[in-house]
Amino acid sequence: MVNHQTTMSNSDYEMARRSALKSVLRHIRHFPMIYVGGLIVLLLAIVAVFAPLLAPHNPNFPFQNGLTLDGSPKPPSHEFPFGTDENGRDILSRVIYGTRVSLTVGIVSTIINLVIGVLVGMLAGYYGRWIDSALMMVTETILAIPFLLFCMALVAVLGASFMNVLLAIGLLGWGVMARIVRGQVLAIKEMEYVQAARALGASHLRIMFRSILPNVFGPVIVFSMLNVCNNILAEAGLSYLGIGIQQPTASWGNMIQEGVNTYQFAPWTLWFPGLALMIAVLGFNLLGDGFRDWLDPQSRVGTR
Amino acid sequence: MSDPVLQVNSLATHFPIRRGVLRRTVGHVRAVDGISFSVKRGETLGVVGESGCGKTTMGRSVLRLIEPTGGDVFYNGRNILNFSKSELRNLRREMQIVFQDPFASLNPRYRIYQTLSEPLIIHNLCSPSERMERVQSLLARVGLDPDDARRFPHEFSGGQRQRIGIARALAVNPKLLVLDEPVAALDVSVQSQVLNLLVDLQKELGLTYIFVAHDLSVVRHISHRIMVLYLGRMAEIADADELFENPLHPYTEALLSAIPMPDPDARRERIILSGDVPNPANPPKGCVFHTRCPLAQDVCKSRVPEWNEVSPNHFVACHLRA
Repeated sequence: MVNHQTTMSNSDYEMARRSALKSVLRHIRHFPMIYVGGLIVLLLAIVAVFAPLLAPHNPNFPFQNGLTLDGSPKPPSHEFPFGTDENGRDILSRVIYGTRVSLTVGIVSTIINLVIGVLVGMLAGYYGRWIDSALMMVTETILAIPFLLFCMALVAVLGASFMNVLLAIGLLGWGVMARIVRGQVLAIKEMEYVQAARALGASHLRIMFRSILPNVFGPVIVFSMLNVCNNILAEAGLSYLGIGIQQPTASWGNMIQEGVNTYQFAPWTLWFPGLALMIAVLGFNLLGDGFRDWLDPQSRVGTR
Repeated sequence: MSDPVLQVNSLATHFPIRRGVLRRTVGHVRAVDGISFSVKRGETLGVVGESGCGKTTMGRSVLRLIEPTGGDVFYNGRNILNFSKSELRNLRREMQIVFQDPFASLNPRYRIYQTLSEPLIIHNLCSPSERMERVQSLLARVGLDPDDARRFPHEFSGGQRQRIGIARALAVNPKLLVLDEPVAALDVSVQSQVLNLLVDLQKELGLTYIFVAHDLSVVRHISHRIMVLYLGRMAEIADADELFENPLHPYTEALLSAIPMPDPDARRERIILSGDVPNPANPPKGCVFHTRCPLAQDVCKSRVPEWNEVSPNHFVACHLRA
């Protein structure tokens, strides 16, 4: 975008960028939710990326010494810090590997939601008239069907696999996103700077994606964070019902499902995947709420 | 008479009012209803009237930012209402607009460099390596620091932002500018600076202006001719000094009497109009002004007044002053 050859040198821009970053950090200081949420998400991401290094055992290996003599799971011990499950597998390792599944599904499906939602919302809001009516009708229909039931049906048809779970959640969860984008676009397209772009002869594509889109992004980013939570929960729900991630691959959902079998006499099989799920949802929620407060100009009063 | 750059014939812009489940059209708001005028090269035509009289709609209809529902707009002899998409795109290089609200007219996410290089990119006016130079010379032209290019709109005052808005309109080297209340949102001290800038630019670049405003003293300062609108229709048009010294339409008289006088001892009869502007969806019969006109007669309620040239270049639509 920026031409560096002329009077403004590269380093000028670098300095402007850096001071902008500084002021962003200064503002964020007033929103501890962003820090806490960001820290949790960052930790989860590290766990997911470095799972093979962090996991003490092979997550899918049923250990001979992982079961008591009567064949029930072992409680947390030095060797198995989170205990073992009914197959004698190390729960800590499985929770660590489950982080990969949950984060991948949560984030990738949200990106799919984002792309579809932004496209649909942008076209509906920008063109209006029958395009708006038609696209919003589709959106309302998608929203009217219970999300999890629809995912179940789709996975049942396509077959249960990691890819299909991801696609099902990604292709069905964009309804609210489309609505949010459409609402924003309706407001922003009447702004005079959009009229100015029209008066300059800018094409529709240029107006939509260069003039309007950057101004829509604030609320969209906030909602995306909250959407990641929903999608992580959806994946866990599907896996819990046995139509999500299949054994022996570990996901928090199918671990909870297994844990329910042994909960009576080995409650740790339920605790740890449940706790992991809770922490992940909490982290993304805090981040989303924090971003929302931060972007809301009224909440910035007094922090300038 | 020198050649008219812009010739507008009975321009009309009606907005449908839709009601009910089926969104049926139950009426029209006649925002602009049969306006005709011409603008000569290098001239400034002032357009005045109350809020809601169709000034802004008229300005935008002339540029086809709002599609007119009737009439013709000839630019250099060609009817732009028949222009195709690509012809219209080329026309954008000839006609530009400056908006009223300098806080809404600049994209808050764009650096000034981006805002000012957008027209250059859209019309492919220079190579990427020349863009920064062009942007900086535009900034210098409107009296800003060339280094401001890297800043964001929120770092500027209203007057500075309006200068940026003017620079953006000038980027494509237009011949005609529609100025949509360009100083209405500015402090009085800044208003005169921006007005002087506009006058200077007109002299340097030979620009033609359509200057929309509701502040008559501002309009007098800058316009060669002035058109008075009421309820989407023309009430009067005349050379600026003629209009101020010899107003004919009762509505023009009322507007002029509302200008504050700098001399506190000066006594002048104030004409205070009663009531509000009628609903443009349901305009009064006959002369649209008769409901508020202090001089209204029976004839005003039944017959639409004709457009009469009372003296050279001075036209008025009034039964009593024709």
